[in-house]
Amino acid sequence: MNPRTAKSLLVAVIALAVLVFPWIVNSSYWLNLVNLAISFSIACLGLNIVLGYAGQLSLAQAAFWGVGAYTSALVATRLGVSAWPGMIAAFAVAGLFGVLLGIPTLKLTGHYLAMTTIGFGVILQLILINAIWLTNGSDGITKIPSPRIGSIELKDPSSFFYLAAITLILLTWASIRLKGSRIGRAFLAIQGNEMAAETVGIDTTYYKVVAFALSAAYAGFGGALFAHSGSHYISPDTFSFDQSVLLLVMAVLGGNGSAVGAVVGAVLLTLLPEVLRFLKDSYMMFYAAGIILIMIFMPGGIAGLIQLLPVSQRLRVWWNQGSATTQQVAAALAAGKPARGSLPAAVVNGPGANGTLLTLKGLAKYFGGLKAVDGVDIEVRRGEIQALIGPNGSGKTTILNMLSGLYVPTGGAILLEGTTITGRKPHVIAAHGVSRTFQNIRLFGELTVLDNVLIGQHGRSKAGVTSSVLQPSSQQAEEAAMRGKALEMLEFVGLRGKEFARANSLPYGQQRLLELARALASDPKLLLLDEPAAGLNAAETETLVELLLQIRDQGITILLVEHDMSLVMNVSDHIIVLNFGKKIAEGSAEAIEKNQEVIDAYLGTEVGNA
Amino acid sequence: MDWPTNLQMLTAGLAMGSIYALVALGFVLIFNAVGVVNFAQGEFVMVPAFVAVWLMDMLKIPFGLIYLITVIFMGIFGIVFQRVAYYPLRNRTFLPVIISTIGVSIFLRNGAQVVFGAEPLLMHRPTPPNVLKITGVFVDPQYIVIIVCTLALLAFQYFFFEKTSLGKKMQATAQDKEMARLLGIRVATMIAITFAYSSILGAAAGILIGPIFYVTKEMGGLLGLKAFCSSIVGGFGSVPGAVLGGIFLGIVEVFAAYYISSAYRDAFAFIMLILVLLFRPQGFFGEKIAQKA
Repeated sequence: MNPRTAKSLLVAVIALAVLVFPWIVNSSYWLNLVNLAISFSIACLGLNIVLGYAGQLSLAQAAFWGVGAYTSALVATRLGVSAWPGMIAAFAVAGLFGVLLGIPTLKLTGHYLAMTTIGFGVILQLILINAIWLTNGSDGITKIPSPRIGSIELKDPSSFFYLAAITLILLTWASIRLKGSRIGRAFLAIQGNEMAAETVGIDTTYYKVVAFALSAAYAGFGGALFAHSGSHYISPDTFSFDQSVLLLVMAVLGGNGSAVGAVVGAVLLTLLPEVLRFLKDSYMMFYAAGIILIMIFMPGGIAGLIQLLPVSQRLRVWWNQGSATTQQVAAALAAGKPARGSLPAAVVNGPGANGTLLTLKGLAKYFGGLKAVDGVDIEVRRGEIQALIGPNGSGKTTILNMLSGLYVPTGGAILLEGTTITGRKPHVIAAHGVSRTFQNIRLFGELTVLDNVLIGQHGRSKAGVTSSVLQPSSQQAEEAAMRGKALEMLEFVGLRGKEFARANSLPYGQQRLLELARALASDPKLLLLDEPAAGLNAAETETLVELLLQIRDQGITILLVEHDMSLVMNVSDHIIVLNFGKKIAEGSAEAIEKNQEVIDAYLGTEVGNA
Repeated sequence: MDWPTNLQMLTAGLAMGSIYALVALGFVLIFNAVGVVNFAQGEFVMVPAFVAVWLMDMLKIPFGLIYLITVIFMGIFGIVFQRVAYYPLRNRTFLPVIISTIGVSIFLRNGAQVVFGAEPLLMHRPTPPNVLKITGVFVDPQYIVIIVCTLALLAFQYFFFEKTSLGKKMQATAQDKEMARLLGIRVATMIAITFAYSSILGAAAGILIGPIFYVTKEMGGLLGLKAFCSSIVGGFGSVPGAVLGGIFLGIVEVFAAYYISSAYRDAFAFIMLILVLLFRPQGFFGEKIAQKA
C-alpha cells in the first residue's frame, strides 16, 4: 500500500469512526463528557501552538476559554441571533484579547508571560463575578441556545458531537499544517533559540504575539463549544486558574509540540476523573502526584514516548515518503553531483561591484564603567574579506553584536549602503542584508538540518498564517523554491545527505558549516562571522578557507572575527586590529604583520620570529 | 482628608505588604539560586498555618514553642520539596520545573483538605483581640506584630547573608554555580539550604497572617501570586526590590480597595504588574540585563 492510499484510507476510517461513535456509546452522560473533552482538546491545541511550538508559557488558557464561552453565550442570549455568529465572535474576541495581552508582555522573556497571564485570569474572573449588568455575576448565564443547521437543532449530545468532532478534526489538521510551514518554523525557531531566530530575520515579538493570539482564539472557540452544549449554562467559577493549570497539564502530558498528543492528553484527563472516582477526596492528590511523576519520567509526554518506539519511526519514514520534501531531497541526492557544490550565483551585488558597503563612525559601547568599544571607525569595502583581530576583551564580538543589532550602541553610527541602521532590531538589520554566525554555535538544535536552512530564508519568503494552513499552489511553489535553495546551500558547504538529521546530532565541525549555510540562505550582502574556525581541525579549517574565498568571489562581503592567524592572513583583504576597545592599526596582512604596535599588543613574538 | 482612616489603612497596608514581602523574598531567593519560579510558594504559607493551628489544638504548650516547631518543620519541608520537585528536574528547561511546582501546589492544597478537613480554621492570636487606640487611630495589635517581626527577620537576613560564611557561600552559589563548585562550596547543600530558608520565610508569613485570616487550603493561592507580582514590580531577582515591591503593593491594595473598588481588591496587584511591565519592565530596582551572544 502506498502512503497516498493510506492517507485516503485514514480519512475514511476517521470519518466512519466519527459517524458511528454516538451509536456505539449511546449514553447521553458519556457523550456529554466526550463533548466536554473535545472543548478542552481545542483549548489544548491552542496551548500547543503557543507552548509546544513557540515555547512560551501561558497560564490563562482557561481565561481565554471563558472569554470565548461568555462572548458566544452573550451574543446568542442578548442579541437573540443564532449560535453561529457568537461562536465566530468567540474565536475573534479571544484572539483579540490575546493580542492586547501579548503586546506588552511578549517583548520580555521567560516567566513574565506566565505571570501576566495568571493576572489576566484573576482579573477576568473578578470581572465575570462583579460586572453583573453584563455577565449576570455569579449566577452565570443559563439557557444558552444550541446551534441550528436549517431546521435541525443540535440539541442532543449525539448531534452536537458531530459538530464538535468535525471542528476538532479541522482545527487539529490546521495546527499540524501550520507546524510544517514557514510560520510554524518561525515559532519553532523562537523556541529553539530566540536570539538566533532574531538574527536570521524573524521578528520574534510579532511571531510570539501571533502564536499567543492563535492560541487564545483556539481556546475561545473551545469555550464557545462548551457554552452551547452540555448543561447550556456557564458561570465564572469554571474559568479559574486551576482550570488553566489543568489545560496546561493536558497539553504537556500529551506531548509538548504534538497536536495529536494535545488532543489525546485532553481526552485522557477529562475521562480520568471518572475512573478515579473511587479515590474520593484524595483524587486530586493522586492527580497532582501524577503530574510531578510525568514531568520527571516522561519529558516528552505521551507523544514523546510513542516517538521513541522503533515502529513509529519506521512508520513516520514510510508515511513521509510521498511528501514533496522527501521527493525533492531524494531527487537532489539522485542527481549525483560532487560532494561539495558551488555557491548558487545571482547574489545581491555580483562580483566587481565596489565602493563602501559598511561604515562605522565613532561606534561605542559602554557596560557601566567598562568601555568595551570606545569610538571605533571602520569602513568595509564591498566584495572584500575584512578581519577584526585583537586580544580577548578588545571589543571584537561587541562590535559584531552591535552590527547585528543584539546590542544598542552607546554612541556612534552604523551605516549600511548609506542607510543608518544604528540600534535597529536584529530582524530589521537582517532584512537589510546582514547575516551572522556565532562564536558559540546557535543552531535550532532540535530541528532538522534542512529546517535550519529553511529558517535562514525566513526574511526572503512571504507565506502568512492563512496560506500556511490552506497551502495554495503559490505557497507550495514558494516552499519548493526555498527547499531547492536550501539543498544547494547544503551542497555548497558539504552537508549533502544530512538533510533530515537533527542539527544537534551533527559533529561540531559540521554544525559550524550548517550555521554558515543558514547565514548564507538569507542572501546576505554582509556576512558577519564570529570565530568560524574555533574548534575546527586543520582539514576543516582548510575547507573553511576555500568556502570563504568562494563566498567572497560571489560578491558577498565578509567581516570576520578570528583568532586563527594563519586563516586571517590567508583570506583577509584588509585587517583591523583592536585593543581595549580602540582601533590601533589597519591595513593589508603584510602591513599588519610588521606593525610593531600590533606585535606588542596581540601577535607577540610568535609571528615576529616567523 | 480623613487622617485617622488613612493612617489605619496605612498600618493595614504595611502589615499586608510585609507578608507579601516575606513571600516575595522566598520567590527571589529560590529564583536567584536555581533560576526557577516556584509556583508552590503560596503553599509555603498555607502549610505552616495549618501545622501551627493543629499543634495549638493538640498540644497545650506555649505558643512560642509551637512557632519554633513549625519553623523547624518548614525547614525540613523546604528540603524535601527541593528534593522532590526541583532536584530530579534540575538539568531541564524551566517549564517542567514550573509545572512540577504547580503539581506540588495542587497536591498540598488537596492534601491539606484531606488531613485537616474543608472547614476554615481559626488560629489563636498571640496578641489581645481588642484593637488598640493610638491617638485616635484604631490599630489591630497583630498588624504591629507583623511589621515588627518582618523588620526583625529582614535585619537577621541582612546579617546572615553579609556577615556569615554560610550566607556568603549561598550568595556565591546564586551568582555562579560553576565557580562556587570550583572553590569547594557544596553547591547542592547550599541550594537545599536556600529552599529551607525560603520555606521558613513562608512559615513566618503563615504564623503572622494566620490570626488575621481564616486558615484555609486556598489561603496561599492568591497570596503567592501577589507576592510574585511584588517581586516583579520591585525588580525580579532583586532582594530589596522584593521587599519594597511587597510593601508597595500591600499599601496600594488597601487604599485602592477603599477609594476605588473593594470588589476588585484582588485585581490591583495584577494591574500594577501589567503597568510596570508596560512602562518599566525591569521593575523599580532591576537592571536591564543584555543576553550575551
